[in-house]
Formats: sequence, structure tokens, C-alpha cells
Amino acid sequence: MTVEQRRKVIDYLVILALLAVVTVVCKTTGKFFNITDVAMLYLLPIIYAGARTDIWSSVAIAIAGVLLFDLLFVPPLYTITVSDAHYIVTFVIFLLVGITTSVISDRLKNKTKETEAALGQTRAMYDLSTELTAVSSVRELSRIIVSGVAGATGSDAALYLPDRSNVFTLMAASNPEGRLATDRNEGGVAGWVFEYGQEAGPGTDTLPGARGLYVPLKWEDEILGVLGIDVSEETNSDLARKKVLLLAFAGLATLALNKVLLSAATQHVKNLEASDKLRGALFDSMSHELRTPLASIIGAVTSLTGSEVTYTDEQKIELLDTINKGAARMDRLVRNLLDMARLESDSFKLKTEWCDIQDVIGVALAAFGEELENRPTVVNVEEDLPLLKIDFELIVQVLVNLVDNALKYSPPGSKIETTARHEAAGVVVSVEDQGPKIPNEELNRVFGKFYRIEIPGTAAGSGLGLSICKSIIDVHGGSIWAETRPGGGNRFVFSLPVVERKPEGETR
Amino acid sequence: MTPETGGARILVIDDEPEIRRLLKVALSAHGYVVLEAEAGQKGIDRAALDHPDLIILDMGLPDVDGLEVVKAIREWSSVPIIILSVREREDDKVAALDAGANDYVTKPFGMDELTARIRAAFRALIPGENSPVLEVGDLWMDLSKRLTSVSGKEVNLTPTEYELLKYLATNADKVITHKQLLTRVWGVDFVPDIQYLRVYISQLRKKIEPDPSRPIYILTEPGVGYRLAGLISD
Repeated sequence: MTVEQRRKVIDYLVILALLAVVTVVCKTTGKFFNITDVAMLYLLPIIYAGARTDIWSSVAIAIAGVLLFDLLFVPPLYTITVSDAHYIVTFVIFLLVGITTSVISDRLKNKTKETEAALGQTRAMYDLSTELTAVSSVRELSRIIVSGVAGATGSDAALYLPDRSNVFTLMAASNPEGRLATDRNEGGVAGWVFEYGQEAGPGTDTLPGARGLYVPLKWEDEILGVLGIDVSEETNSDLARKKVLLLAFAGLATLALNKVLLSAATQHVKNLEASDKLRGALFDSMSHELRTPLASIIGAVTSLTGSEVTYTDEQKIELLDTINKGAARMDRLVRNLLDMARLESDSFKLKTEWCDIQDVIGVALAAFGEELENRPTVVNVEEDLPLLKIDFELIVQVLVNLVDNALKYSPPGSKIETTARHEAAGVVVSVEDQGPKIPNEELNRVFGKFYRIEIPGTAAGSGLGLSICKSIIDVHGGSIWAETRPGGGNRFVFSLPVVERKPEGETR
Repeated sequence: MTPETGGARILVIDDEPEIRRLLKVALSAHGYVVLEAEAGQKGIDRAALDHPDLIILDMGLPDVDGLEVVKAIREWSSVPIIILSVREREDDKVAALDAGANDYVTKPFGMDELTARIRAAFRALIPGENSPVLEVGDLWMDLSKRLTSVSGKEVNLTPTEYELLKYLATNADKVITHKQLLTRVWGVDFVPDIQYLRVYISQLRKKIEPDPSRPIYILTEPGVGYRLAGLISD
């Protein structure tokens, strides 16, 4: 039983109780009340009924009052017949009082209801508008709008918007299973509204047979979307009321949508600018990285082929060596670029095999040839290191990059030390140099892509090497980090997990 | 081969050891004495202490930007500075030249080109204003009489055209930026549009170039300025 129903029952009980009390009191007190007083007292339940119940109940109570008064108090008693025509007037007054009270209270009730409804709608719109300002995604916004509209109008609501690929779609519906959302014809009506920017549906000139009433969300000359509510079961007056509401909500939705779309557009432009900047920086860095070795190659070649001077054999060898080193450097760069492309491609697969880390270190150092000749190069590899299941070439590339880095950023002639040990984390390999210490706050950042180019004024370098190292070690399930050495210099360390070797056939 | 520059000392400021090594070998073979610095501040210090005759400067240095090095050296020295850089954007060139660099060569470079620019820079040091006659190929200018002739035929130049040509000729082989030309010829307070300059250069070319569409004297350095080719006489 709802509150409303319970209240009605109580009202009827009160009315019956009043009728009973008046009847019993007047009857038992005998001549204390004269007949006019009795008539007045009978008006009480009638007025109460008029105020609290509908018009038919009031009339019924009025008739009941008339009958009781007539039967019990008007002579001749206990008959409906009336001796004095005067009493007919009393009866009529009873009825009139009942009807009038009922009509007046009805009107008051309706007024209150309307005021309450208007207040509720204002509140709903206010709530919606505050809710909408906090939202930044179109989808979320759409959901809030339809639930707000549905709540305020009591009808199913639907919002149509162009999606990311600019296809006009049903973005949100308060009742996704309802006819408004599922009927394909309704989508067609909404599409018409979107195209022509005019409202359509019941009560309008266009497609009045539709279930839904649709209005365009218009911002300046642009149609952002279409908002509709199901009005298929509404009377004309309700339709007009709901249309007003729908238009109000449409205005609100337009403002909110426009704000979100604008900020999305701004964000998009910002992203483009940022990626443009990054691309520019990458191009600068690549051009520097490629051109520097090219400069020594072309410079040396044009020296040798030029006719201006004759070079001694010693000078010729030195020029040829310059060419060699420039070419090796370009090869390293190209390798890094290819690795980066490979690591970032969707079809990337590790080519793992059982490898001896000492072998990896040897191959990596050999790649530098004479470049390491004037550097004291120390290699410490612990005895009996387990074999590792790794991609040989990629781990060589990691070491090449780390050694290349050490060469670049430490003073000429200073020691470079490579160590491999077995620790809890697996096999740990480190490359140590005696270059200037990397500031603590930078230690984590050096592995970031383009780290180098994000910091103006730093030395040459593509900034690719270390970030590729990190990608390679990551796909191997290991970790890589940089730390400063207590005695000065930096140490770049990576660990590779040791996996249990499954005995294949015969074991050793 | 280069008797007039023999023993001239060139300071190479570049952080790439391979480039320094290459320049040391090649320039030594050309008879120059090569000094080296691998960073900007060190380069400035060496320029002050060793008084090189010419500086070859990389723009992308680890500590100080090359542009700052040019400005620092220009505070107290007019030693010729040739920029040798991978930066090839016009803005970078203009900025370096306006800051006082004498020339700009982009990496990668041909050794012949670099040595030609070095010779040109040294030649510009030989006082031009003292000698009233400038000779570039068939182009001949007598500054004392304000006379200009091409292949022996006198050319009639307006005062502005004459000033333009004189400035380019006294700086033969050196890139002169638009801004330098404009401020020099029209004055600091009046810096007109580059279009203005283009009109005068075009008129000047019509008067002195054998084929104005394929100039051999006034060469355009796209986006940067102009250079009067002085190598014709070589």
C-alpha cells in the first residue's frame, strides 16, 4: 500500500467516524442540540470529505449526511419522507457545500501539484547543469543528459550524436530496451531532425505519427545532435508541457556538449602540436646523428680525392680510419633504428636461444674494433654463470649501446669496466665508466625515449640507445638501471632472469 | 700551395673527436697549424690565450651553444669564425652570421669547399679599404673614383646599387645576411623589407652579370643573404 492509498483510507475512516460521532452525540444528548445545530454538525464530515477526497466521494458523503439527518432527526423520524419542505433546502445546501468544498480544494491541490512539479523540474535542471559541468567525455555527458530528461519528463529519452567517425548514432538512451531506442523508424526521424535542424514528431508539422518528439541541439549554425522523448501516450496538454521541458533540457545539453566538444578539439590540437614538436626534435637529432659520421666520411674522402695537397701515407691511413669509424657509427645508428622499428612492430618476436653471456660481451666489444684500443677495457665474468635464454643479437646491441655511451661520456683514456655476476635477480651485467656523474634526479630519466633531445645543451646523441636498451631488457623480463659509482663515474646495470633448463635428451 | 696562409693557426672547436681528427689531418696537410677544443668554454679560453688566426666552430656543443661562443669571442676579437655545423636551417645560419660569424659551412662538407672558405676568410683580412681598387674576375671597382666596370666596360650604378656592390665586394666570398646589407646600405634606423633589397639586387645583376638568371658574381644564399663570388679570379 502506498502512502497515498494509506492516506485515503485514513481520510475515509475519519469521515465515517465523524458521521458516527455526530449521529451518536446528537441522538444521545436528546434535546440539547436543536435541529439547526444538528444540520450544522452534519456539515463537518461533508466539508472534511470535500477537502480531503475527490468530488464523487464528497457527493456520496453529502447524500449519506442528508439520509442520516433525514432518517434520524427530521420528523417524521425513521422515514425518508419530509414533513416540512424547509428541509429540502437543507439537503440542497448539504450537497452544494460538499461539491463546492471539493471543487475548491481540488483546485488548490492541483495548484500545489503544479508548483511542486515546476519546482522539481527547476531542481532537476539545476542538478543536471551542475552534474554536466563536471563531465569531460561525450559519452558520459550523453548518459547524464538522457537520465536527467527522463527523470524530469517521466518519459523515455534518447540522445543522438555524430560519433568519432562522424556517423550519426544513438549515443545514449534512458531505456535502451524501450521502443524509442529500438524502433529503427525513430532513428530515422532523429536523422531528419539532425539534417534539417527542425523539430519533428507528435505536435509538430513533421512526422507527427512518430513515437518520439525530437528537437535539434543547435549551437550557432551547427547541429550538434538530437534530443528526443517518447510522447506516444501523452494527452495534448501533457505533450505541450513536456515539449517546453524538452526544449529547456535541449538548451542545457547544447551548452554542455559544446563545451566538451570544444575542449576535446583543443586537446586534439595540443596533442598534434606536441607530436609535431617531438617529430621535429627527432628529425633534428637524426639529422645530427647521421650527418656527423657522414661529415667525417665525406670530409676524409674529399681530402683524399682532392688535388690540392698530397698526403703522406701516415695521413692517408688516418683519413681512411676516420672513414671506417664514421661508417661503423652509422651502422650502429641504423641498427638501433631498425631495432626500434622491430621492437615497436606488432609482429615482433624474440628469437631466444641458450647463450653464454661471456660470448655476448665478447661479440659486443669486438664490434668497436680499434675504438677501444686506447681505452683500458676490463672484463670480469664470474665463473660458471648459467646459460641464459635470450635473443643473442639484441643483448649484444644492449651492450654495444652501453659501451658506446661509456665511450662518449667519459674522458679519453679512462677505464671502461664490464662485469657479469650471478645474483638473486639473475645474471647481472654492468658497464662502468669514469665520466662525470649523472645527477641523481636524472638517473631514472636517461632510459626515456628522446631523453637526450629533451634536454637542450647536452652532448650529441640520438637519445635512442638507452631507450632501446630498456625496451630490449623489458621484453626479456629483466630490468635495467643506472647508478653512480662511489668512486666517481657511472654504472649502467641490467639483469636477465635465469630460467631452469629443461633436460633435453641426455644431460651432461 | 698556400704560401700566404702558411703556418696560420686554426682553432677547431667541435665536440666530435672524429671531426677534430679529420680536420687536424687535412688542414695540417694544407699547411695550417691546428689547435683543438672539445667544448664551448674551452674554445673561448683557447681563443683568448692562443690567439688563433681563424676559428672553425661547431654549433651543437655540449656546454655552451655555438651562437654564444660567437658572441663571447666577438666581445674582444675580430678573428674570422667559420661555422661548421649540421644545422642547416636558414634561421640558424642567419643568427650565427648576424652574431658575427664570417661564414657558414654545413656538415657534411667537401674538404675543398672548406679550404676555399678558409682561404676566402684569410683574403678578406687583407685590408681592402686601404686599396682603392677591387678586382673580382672581370668586375673592377675603383672606390676612390666611384667607378665600376665589367670586362673593361664602364657600368653606371645608382648610389644605392654602388653601395650594395661595394659592401659585397669588400666582403667577397663572405655571406652577407639580408639584415647586414639592409642596415649597412640603408642605415640602422631604416630597415625596409627584404623585397626592397631583392629589387636592387635584381637591378644590379642586370647591370653587371653576363646572364642575370645565372649569376656568377652576386650569388644568392637562400633564406640567408648574398655572397659575392671571389673565387673567379683563382
